[in-house]
Amino acid sequence: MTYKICCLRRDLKYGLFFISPSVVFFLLFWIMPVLLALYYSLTRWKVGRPGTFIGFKNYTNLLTDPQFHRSIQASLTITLLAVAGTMVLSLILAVLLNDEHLRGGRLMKTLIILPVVTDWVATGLVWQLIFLPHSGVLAGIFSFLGLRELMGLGWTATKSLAPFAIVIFIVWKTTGLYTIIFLAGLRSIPRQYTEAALVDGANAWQAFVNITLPLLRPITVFVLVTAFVNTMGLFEPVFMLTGGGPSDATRVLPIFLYETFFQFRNGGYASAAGVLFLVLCLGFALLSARSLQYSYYE
Amino acid sequence: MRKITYFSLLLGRVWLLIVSGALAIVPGVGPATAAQERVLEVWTHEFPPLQNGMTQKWIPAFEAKNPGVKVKLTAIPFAGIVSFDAKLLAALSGGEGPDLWDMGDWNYKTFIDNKFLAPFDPKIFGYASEQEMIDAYLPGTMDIFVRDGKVYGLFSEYNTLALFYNLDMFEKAGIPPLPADKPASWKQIEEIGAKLRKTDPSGALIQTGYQFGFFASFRSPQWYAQNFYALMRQYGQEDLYVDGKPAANTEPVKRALQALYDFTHTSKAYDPTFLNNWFADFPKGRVAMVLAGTWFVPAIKQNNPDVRFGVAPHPVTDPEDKATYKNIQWSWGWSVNANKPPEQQQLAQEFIAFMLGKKGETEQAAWWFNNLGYTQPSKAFFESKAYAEKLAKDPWLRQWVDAFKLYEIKYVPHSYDEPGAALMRAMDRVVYDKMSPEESAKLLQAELERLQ
Repeated sequence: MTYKICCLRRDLKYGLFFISPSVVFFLLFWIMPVLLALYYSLTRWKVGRPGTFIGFKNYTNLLTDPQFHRSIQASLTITLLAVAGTMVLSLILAVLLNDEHLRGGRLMKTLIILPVVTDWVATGLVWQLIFLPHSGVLAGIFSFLGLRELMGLGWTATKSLAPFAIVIFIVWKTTGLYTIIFLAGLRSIPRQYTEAALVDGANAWQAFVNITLPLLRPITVFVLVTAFVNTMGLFEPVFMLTGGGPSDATRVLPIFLYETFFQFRNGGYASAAGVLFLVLCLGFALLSARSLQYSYYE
Repeated sequence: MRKITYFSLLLGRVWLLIVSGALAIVPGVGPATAAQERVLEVWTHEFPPLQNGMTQKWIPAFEAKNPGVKVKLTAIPFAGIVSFDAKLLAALSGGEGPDLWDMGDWNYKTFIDNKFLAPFDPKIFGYASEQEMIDAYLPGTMDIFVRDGKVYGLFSEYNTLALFYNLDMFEKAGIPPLPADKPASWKQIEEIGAKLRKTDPSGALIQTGYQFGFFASFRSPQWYAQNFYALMRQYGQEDLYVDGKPAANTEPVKRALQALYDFTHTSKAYDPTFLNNWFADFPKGRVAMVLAGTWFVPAIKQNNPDVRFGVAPHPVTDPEDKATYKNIQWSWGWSVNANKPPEQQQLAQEFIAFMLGKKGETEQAAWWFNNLGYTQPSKAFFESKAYAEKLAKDPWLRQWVDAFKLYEIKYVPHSYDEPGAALMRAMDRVVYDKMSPEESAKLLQAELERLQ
């Protein structure tokens, strides 16, 4: 018994030692910035000068700031469209890849994951060329299909199309990751359940809707929350394609934060907006986790 | 047990290695590098001709002249995820940053307010006093660098705008070249621009007449502000603030916005969604007219060395009324980090003096002008033989000489700040949302009042 306690203590000591770099990293680069942002959000702080304490003034100003409201609106529009698109597409692809008889599955997986491992900025430049009116790749496709009137569409230059251009880019870039996660989820569901349903007379669609989807719920919640939080925080695709324009149609929260801090140098105001952004993401994560009940299987 | 002891020792050493490695990269803690070597750290925005000039000419020459001095150059993208201005601001706010750097005029007010910049010692540049140094440049051009009689920057580039037009496109459309000695009116430019707009048989736009310096994927606050301020000033208002109060719901602001509206929606001389490549569309015959600075020519010639162009004075609202002859100016300047020790600040200024020239020297300015199209508005340079020779070779440059006699030229006070962003929104509302200029001006006024 004494030996066991001794071993446990030793294991604990070494365990703590091994995780200490991650803990230090997490505290320094994750917890500390959040605490600092909380502190600065209560100050009037122009970057480069000392801040003065103003209580919750930044928060009350944000609540009446039309630019902030528009940013939230733009963020939610792009995020909801992108998350919906990504989830549907990645689920379809995962189901296809889960088919044992599928030929070229490995190649497909490689192709699907390829955009995920590429860089946002580099692929952003490529998508700029794809969306170019008249001479871009999409314009070429429209020309090939005989839809010449669509060649001049200003994908990133018109207010109504710019959010969709960004959504297309995000869906293309992130679908592979969620496909792999869904695929892992599908593979972890015992086949006997579906087979039993099929034997009992259910068709493939009924088995998928009534057996597979409910059992995938924990994965679905995970993908939904992760995709929402990640997409809300995306800066690069917007910055690369539209810079927040045209006419603020794509000025999402990260762009608002960036401009407020680095361009206008309002450190306190940007920190308050960042804290609200955090609250928004956290709130969504908690709501999703609560509203979508978990299902487990033995 | 012995095994574990060795393992503990090993783990301890791994930690030591990490800590010592971390300490080694902290300045002043790690082992000394080359004995007595002084390093001068320089930051510039990314612009290949500038980097080439620095690394191939000025840095090697300065190092050769100053043994023991090493100049380290870092080029940072001007825009993008890590933009030059943001990186500079972050570094200087933390008491760090380079010894000297090159930055846009819009940063000077805040950087001087924040005490980031060291004042220049005129003696290093061969002048007896700050005033003599200021007087060595064209009147008004040094305004942006000067505070309380002290000088905080010196030009890497100075420019104003003139109208470039594609001669081939004009000739094809039967339009005579624009006069070089008198500005055209905005109305004339709009009419010519509308004539030069072209679509293909399917109705797709293939050519536009006029290009403002802002468009959807190039949301440069500087270009928005430059285009707008020139118009607003020509209509009779200097700034968006009058006597310190927001003044956007005014006739000059509405008329300036109306001009944008007319170009975009009435005559369609301008299409904000059309331009694909700033430096390629003009020389390749897709855009007929643009406002630009002297740097435009080396850049367009890379896309079409045979491009035929003319340069006319900046358009005005009424060519018959000299009071409307107003234009904007901008500059980039070299500055020195106030956080660095005095001897480092002095070395940084010596390097600037070496690159830009001391009192009366003009060969440095001539080099920058001939190789990069960068103008330094020093009186000595404008009176130099090198400049006269360049003018004889490239007569279109005459527009930039005449501009100082023809126009009242001033800096733009609001571009990269919050009022500048509000102005961008007001222009976007007119150009992209087709909002009436009156309504947009009213909203701009409300936004400026909110910022007060």
